[in-house]
Amino acid sequence: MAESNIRNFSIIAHIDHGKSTLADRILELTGALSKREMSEQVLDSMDLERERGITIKAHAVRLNYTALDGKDYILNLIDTPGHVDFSYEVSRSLASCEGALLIVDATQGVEAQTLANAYLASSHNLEIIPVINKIDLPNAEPEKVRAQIEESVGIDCADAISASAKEGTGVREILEAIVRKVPPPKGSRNKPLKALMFDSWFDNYKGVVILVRLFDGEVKPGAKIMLMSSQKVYEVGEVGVFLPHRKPVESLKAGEVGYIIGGIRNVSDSKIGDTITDAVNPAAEPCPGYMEIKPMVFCGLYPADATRYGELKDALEKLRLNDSSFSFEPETSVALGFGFRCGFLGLLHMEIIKERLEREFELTLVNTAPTVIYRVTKADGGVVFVDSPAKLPERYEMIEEPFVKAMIFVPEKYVGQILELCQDKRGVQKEFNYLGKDRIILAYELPLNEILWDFYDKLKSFSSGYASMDYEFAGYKESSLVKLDILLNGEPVDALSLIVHKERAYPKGRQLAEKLREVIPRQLYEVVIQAAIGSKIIARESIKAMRKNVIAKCYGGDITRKRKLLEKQKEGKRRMKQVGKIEIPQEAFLTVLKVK
Amino acid sequence: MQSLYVHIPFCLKKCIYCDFVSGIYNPAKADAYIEALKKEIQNISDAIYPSSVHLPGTSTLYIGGGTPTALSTECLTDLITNIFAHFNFKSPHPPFNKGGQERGKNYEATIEANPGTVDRTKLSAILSSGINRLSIGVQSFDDNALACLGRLHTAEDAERAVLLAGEAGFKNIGIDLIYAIPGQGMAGWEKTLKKAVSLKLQHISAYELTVEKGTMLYEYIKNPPIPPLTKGGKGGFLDEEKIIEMYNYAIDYLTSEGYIHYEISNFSLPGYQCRHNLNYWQRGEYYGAGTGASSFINGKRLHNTERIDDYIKLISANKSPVKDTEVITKEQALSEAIFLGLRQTEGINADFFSQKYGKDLLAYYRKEIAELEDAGLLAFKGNHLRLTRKGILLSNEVFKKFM
Repeated sequence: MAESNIRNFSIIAHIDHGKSTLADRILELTGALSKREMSEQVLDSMDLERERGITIKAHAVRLNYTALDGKDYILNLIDTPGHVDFSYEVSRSLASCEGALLIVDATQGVEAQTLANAYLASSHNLEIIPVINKIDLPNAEPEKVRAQIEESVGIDCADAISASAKEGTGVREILEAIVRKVPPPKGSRNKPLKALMFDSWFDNYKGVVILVRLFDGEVKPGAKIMLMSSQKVYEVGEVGVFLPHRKPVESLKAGEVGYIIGGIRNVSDSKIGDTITDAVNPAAEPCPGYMEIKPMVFCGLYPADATRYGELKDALEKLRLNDSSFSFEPETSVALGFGFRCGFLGLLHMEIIKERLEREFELTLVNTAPTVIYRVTKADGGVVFVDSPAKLPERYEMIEEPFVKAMIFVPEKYVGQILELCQDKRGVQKEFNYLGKDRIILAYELPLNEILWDFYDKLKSFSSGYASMDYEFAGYKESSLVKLDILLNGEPVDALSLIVHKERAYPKGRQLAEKLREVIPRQLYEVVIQAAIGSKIIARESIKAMRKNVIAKCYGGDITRKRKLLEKQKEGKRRMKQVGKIEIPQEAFLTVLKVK
Repeated sequence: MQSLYVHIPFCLKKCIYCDFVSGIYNPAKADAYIEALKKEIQNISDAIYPSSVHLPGTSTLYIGGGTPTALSTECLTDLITNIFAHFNFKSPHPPFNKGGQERGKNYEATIEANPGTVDRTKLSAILSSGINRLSIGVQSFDDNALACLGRLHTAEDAERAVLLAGEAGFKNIGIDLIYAIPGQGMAGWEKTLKKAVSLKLQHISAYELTVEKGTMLYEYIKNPPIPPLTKGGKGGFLDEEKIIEMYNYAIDYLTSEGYIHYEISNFSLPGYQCRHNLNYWQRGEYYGAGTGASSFINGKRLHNTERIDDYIKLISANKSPVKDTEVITKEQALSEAIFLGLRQTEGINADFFSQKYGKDLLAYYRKEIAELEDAGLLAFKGNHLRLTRKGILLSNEVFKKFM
């Protein structure tokens, strides 16, 4: 089909504003799927995605649409991940489009992700089509939301489409607007192949499948292609499109969106954002914006049952086939034995990987407290990156920690608590602006470490759920940080160490010792818990030795029951980690997270 | 050696701490139950020696509950006579001819009794129908403690029951006592033990009050309906140190009065250990009749249904009342041998253990034993592996190592 009849677009929205439901309706209306074939939210194909209501992987679907002008169009819908952990993937998806639908919930209005995504879309020069969704709800305020979008995003909302994805209203108008407003792709089919890879995954039968947007040229089976970042050459085995079922085609041409299968064995060779070109006649320049994505958050993952280390290793390797954005390397902990130090894009990503390991590979895992990656200047001037408190050199000149720039939307009446929260998390205010009469946009520079754990939950609870947030990495800055160690009966337990801000070390150490006293069960011996900075003890708690655990009665009818009781207690013991003589329950390693 | 247990699932009132299978006594239901029970007893006997002239030789009988003495005198004597007609209690083997037997003297037949459910006539009738040991559910000689447990009798009733039993001719009388009762102080416990000793009982069981799930007591702890009975301790429950003190006191005091502390919770005058219970701890075989009763025969443990109505229906329809059958694996047998054997203060005879289970106790559990000896919880005396006093209090921790 001629380029002039192709439209490539994404849907961007704040979480829960109805992105996936609208995608479903579009698929239904264009006949890509019959009603019968529709399972709820088709594009979120992983169980996890559906359960959590978020999109983790990007998708691309080719839709055939006959517009009111009587012409046939190809609309390529590129679905984007919906979480800040995956903002790089979002940017690559947007770079593959000429337009974006900006969905805003008519009852919620503009939220932090709305704005972050809209900015991202305009930075890629996309035509943004505002859609006010959920107008069927009784408390919908489309006019107010229209004004909000105009004011905050700065786009004209005179033609904003009112829609209800749930009821299917406004969907045709949306498709017409895409045809009318989104510019067709402007590439040349005669130039050398230049395609942007915006996602990839591993298929058990086909190897790595890559999703691409072609800017120039054409690609066919048999062609030799090259990945520009690695200069590696592959032979194309199959090209095709998703309708949304996979369908091979003869070729993909400039302006089109589809997939390439080319004998790539390892997903880590197919880096999102990379440019694919002709091996013989390569493009002069790659597509702009390619980055090597680096994990931001690290934690140790250990099998609860030490004998399953090998299984964990296999599982990590298998998962990595599908997701090259997490890293793992072997790690040994005195407390936890053999495991892996794993890096993730963010906390959600970490939870997803852990959950998949447990669910798909039936493993029980112990994870240590997540940590950010610190930049440490050693005494000799050398710089190292430290992704685990255990790796912090004993002597160093300076520790720098990663900061983010967070954008927070909050109704005026809650702003006091939110300012306090940011203050408490060592935030530095950068902006304070009104959006309309009663909402405030805050910009803060915050240490990533501080927002890792409970920041988002607190933000929500302090604002009765009204505040929203988005953030981006803002670089490393020096901080006054120290290593806090936990000692049990005088022995440091490496898996419980933390890097904390100096001013927080004392209260944190005290709280941690108290919490550990609550979670570690009594043992046959007294257990002394100490928190220490270097050789200085800053807190001490003790757990008295267990004195009594005895069954008073055991006669003929009880024997089976008592045996099972003892077996169960033994099983509980087996799940604990033995550090020296002390048995530590797995939850102890997570208490580190629960201290303020 | 095999024993027979017979369960009577009726009480005049359910005690708040009780998790045994029992319901409120109702004469019509009790009669129907006893008929079914008699049939099951006959079935068990016939199954051991089908259509032969022999009666199985069983060494001990234990009629427990519930409250067996909640039944009428007629009902009880009918049941007991029936049991003796189907089993021979002149231990040990060989079997005796049906009809031609002579009741031996060397047997132990116990019935549980509650103060307030016995009088002279009932006790004499029980004795003359063949029962020779009485286990009285005294629980305490302290009226406050009895009230707290929801018992129907007073301390005076309890003492009277013991005296009546002696007068009726029982020569082997035991009582059950409970300590760590909410609100109970050391003084109340001392008083109870002193009274028990003064009554010259052959056997004393001293149980720590245990909170079992599904009991009223358990519910009370979760949602205390009344303000705590004493300060400190949850809902008036005693703290651990105090319970340990009470237990240690019982051991020291009773042994000083000539009692042998032969199992975690059991004391007796020399020669009066409860043989029926020793059989459990030595993993001997036993038959159980009645609701909720268990049997352990040929390495299998069988559990009867706990519901009275189901039990009566099954028996009258000539069906088995067994609800669960469990085959004990070799490993489970070993763990049981350890945790039951160590409950006895004389411990496990390493030679007998090796003979019976084909494993050298010391070699097989070398690591566990060394670790526990090191912690002061286990000790050897001769070739007997036993719990230390500290080890008794932490016995579950010890047993877990052998699971």
